Amino acid sequence: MQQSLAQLRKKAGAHDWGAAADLEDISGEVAIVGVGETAFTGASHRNNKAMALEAIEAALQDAEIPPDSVDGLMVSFGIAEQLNPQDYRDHFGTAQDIWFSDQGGAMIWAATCAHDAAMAIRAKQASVIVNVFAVDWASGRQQGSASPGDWHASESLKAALEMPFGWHPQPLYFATFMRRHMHEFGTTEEQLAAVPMTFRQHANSHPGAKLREKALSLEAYLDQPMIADPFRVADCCLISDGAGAFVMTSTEQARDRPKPPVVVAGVGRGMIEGAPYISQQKRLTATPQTFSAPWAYAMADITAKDLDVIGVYDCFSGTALMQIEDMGLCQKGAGGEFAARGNLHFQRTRSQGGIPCNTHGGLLAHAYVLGISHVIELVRQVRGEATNQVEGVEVAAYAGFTAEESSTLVLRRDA
Amino acid sequence: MLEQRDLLNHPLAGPFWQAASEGKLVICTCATCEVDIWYPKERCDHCNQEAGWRELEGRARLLSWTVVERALNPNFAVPYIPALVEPLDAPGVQLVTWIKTDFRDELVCDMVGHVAFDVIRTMDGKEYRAPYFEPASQQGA
Ligand SMILES: [Zn+2]
Repeated sequence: MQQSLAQLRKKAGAHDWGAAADLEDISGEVAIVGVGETAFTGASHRNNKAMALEAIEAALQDAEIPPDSVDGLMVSFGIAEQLNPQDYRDHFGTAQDIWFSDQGGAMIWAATCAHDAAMAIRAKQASVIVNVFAVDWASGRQQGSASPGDWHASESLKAALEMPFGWHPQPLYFATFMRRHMHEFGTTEEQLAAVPMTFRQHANSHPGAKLREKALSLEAYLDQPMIADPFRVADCCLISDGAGAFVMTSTEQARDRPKPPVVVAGVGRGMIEGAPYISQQKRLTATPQTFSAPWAYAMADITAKDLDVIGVYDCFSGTALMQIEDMGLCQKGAGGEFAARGNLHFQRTRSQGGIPCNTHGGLLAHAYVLGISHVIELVRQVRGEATNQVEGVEVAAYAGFTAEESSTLVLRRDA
Repeated sequence: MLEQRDLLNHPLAGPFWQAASEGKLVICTCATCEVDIWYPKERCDHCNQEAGWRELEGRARLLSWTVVERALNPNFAVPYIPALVEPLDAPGVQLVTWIKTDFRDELVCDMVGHVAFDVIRTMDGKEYRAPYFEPASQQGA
């Protein structure tokens, strides 16, 4: 059922286990005009800033925009050594003023940055905005420095009420939730396996995917030892070094670029009650995608049925499965059966009952760059230039995730 | 990892660990509003009065668990079983706890069990007297 933003706003006051953020309607105002990435690797000892600049160079080249035209920069606040405007000017030898936001990057922000960019463009604070994300956790792990669990370990109540029981790091949380999903809905190990197996198939034919050369059969999956049951190695994201960037302008301005604009049709952001403590999430078998997706769909004036391809944050197979359900792409709880029928494969289009998902391989098989490459892949899908190209893509959606928050970004081909 | 004394003196979670050291399970609550406050806060969100603590009877429902087989957490020897439970007399409260590995074959979501106490020993030499979830006997006492 199609819902309007006004209806959702009215509902937002009702007590529930989470809620959508009241994002302004920016549908159609901005478009993505360029995308770029570095190579994705294991420990490379490449510097985050250098990788970010490399990705930006590629994105500007893709957009055919000179470096001195950029007047907006969005990065992640949560990751060390992200780029700042001075780094940008120093590298490109330019002198322009740059509007700056640290509410960009990857995870949920790879979606919400488009909303913030639209607001900045509306307010005439910037006109050409680059969102960039770089991560060096593969190098970090090798050096025993930065890792994905850092923030989780440092928070005071987590340290006092979770760490003493060993409820840390993240694989344990989502293994616990997935176990509950199996109990409530009868999801099986074989069904769960369909998620990493399908993403792996996509990676196997995607240049640049870290696991391009490694196939994954059901037998091989089931033979893997448990990490935290029901998760095996293949259910958990890679750890990688790499960066991605995309360039946003007003849709009007985007129409002057050589490549077809990929229009931002809708953005949603949802958060659980009790954040940041996901141990206190009142629905263990769902994600806050439950709240962000309807908001983004309402803004885009679509329903889940209109999506042709999706990119879903897949830090774990189970979180991808739950988010696919929460996006309304199958019945709640039926995600396992849905995936096991092959419905996430890039050749299983909507008209055939599928929804191609993570056509680049995702965090499980492409690279762990926290979702920035999911958005880049969807831009390529909408343009019709993806390697694992889905036929006839009009509308795409990215589902971002941090655990206590989800986001949704709806992209569409320019009318 | 925090030392035991840091847990006992923790500004918000201290009373939980002090009670645990005496073999009792307590949660943060507002006596005026009769609502539990979990995770603990200094004040009640509804009436802004200082929050208190109440003792629970110690029976709980197992929401879910995982058997950790890979040393993802350097402070815990594998296998170990962290779990989420809901006390029967504090619906809506979700406690992170643990289960002894010799119970692993008995576990089913939603089963009811007892909260008992034992010492957790971490790899970095910390010791905590902490509540754990013990499945009710399958024979049904
Ligand atoms: Zn009160």
